[in-house]
Amino acid sequence: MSALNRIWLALFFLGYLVAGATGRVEETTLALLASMEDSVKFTIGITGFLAFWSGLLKIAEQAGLTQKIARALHPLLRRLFPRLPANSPALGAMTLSLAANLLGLSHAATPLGIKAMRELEKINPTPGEVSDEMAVYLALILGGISFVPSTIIAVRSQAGSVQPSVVIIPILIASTIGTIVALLTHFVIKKTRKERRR
Amino acid sequence: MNTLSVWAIPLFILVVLVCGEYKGVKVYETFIQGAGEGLKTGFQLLPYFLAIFGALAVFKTSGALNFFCRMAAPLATFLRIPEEILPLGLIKPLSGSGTIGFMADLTRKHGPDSRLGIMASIIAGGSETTFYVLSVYLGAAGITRPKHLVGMGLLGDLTAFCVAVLIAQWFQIG
Repeated sequence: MSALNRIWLALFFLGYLVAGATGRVEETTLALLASMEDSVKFTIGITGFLAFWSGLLKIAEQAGLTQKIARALHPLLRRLFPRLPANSPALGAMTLSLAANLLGLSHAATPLGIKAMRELEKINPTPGEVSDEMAVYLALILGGISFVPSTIIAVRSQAGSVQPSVVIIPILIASTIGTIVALLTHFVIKKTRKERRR
Repeated sequence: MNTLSVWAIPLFILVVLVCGEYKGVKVYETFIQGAGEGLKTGFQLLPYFLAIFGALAVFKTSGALNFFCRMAAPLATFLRIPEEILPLGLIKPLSGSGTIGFMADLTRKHGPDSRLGIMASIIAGGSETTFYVLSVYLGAAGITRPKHLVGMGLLGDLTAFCVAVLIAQWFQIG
């Protein structure tokens, strides 16, 4: 990710450039050194919550909660992918991966997502190019809808929030609207492309 | 809305435990195993926090951030958003861990329950990391040209950002 490389470098470079110009080099370096201990403390602070949550999710996984949510998602996904038969492996893989994302199972979600993409490529009418199904599926993934954003809650709680979980519903609203807009964007672009071809 | 948010975690815990017990899962042993894995995930975040907190410490203490904020202030005032939130919106589609680091910095500086802290929390959780997801998922299928998907993802990010700002404007804790 080259943009990230440049941004990170620029933060240090511009930072010390300004520090040099304003005579605050010493202070700046002290702040940098302090940030190192701070990072370790902060990581330890949020790791407790993350580990607890991860233990809970393991139980959910073994109890078959992912499959249960996948089954609930199935009717909705069939509408979004009308070209795929109900028992197609691609549809199955996509439902499972979206269920894992909803549950916040980040370990399981990426491998499942990769499997879904490979299944979609197998039935891609234009191999090597983004298919309609891939675009719709990725719009859902990019929307990032999740029941419990555990990392955000861990960070808020570590920062001393009196109500760390108060943002759950707002996050759900923001990600749902974001997902809908991404889906609409795809459908509008698809439609204008078809019309241009006529 | 707040009551529902507050009950989300306890409900989730209870549902998972009851379902697990019902399905014959050894809840305690499974929890220990999963928590061990989670511990690793937590510590894997450390390099990212080091990178982000370090760079931000330099950028802030030197006065460069103030300078940047003063330059961005007219745009932020025009959009009616706090200027401190702009960099978070820029880093959001690029790096997930970077976003968490940035959000952590904002919540600690301004307070997690302040308007800015709430805004940062909603933005950080409101969408996936567009460029990361696209490169991993499309790469897995062997597709090199993302077509309109970058635009689609970024528009989704922008929407989630705006919704987050709007919600945080009238949000009240307590």
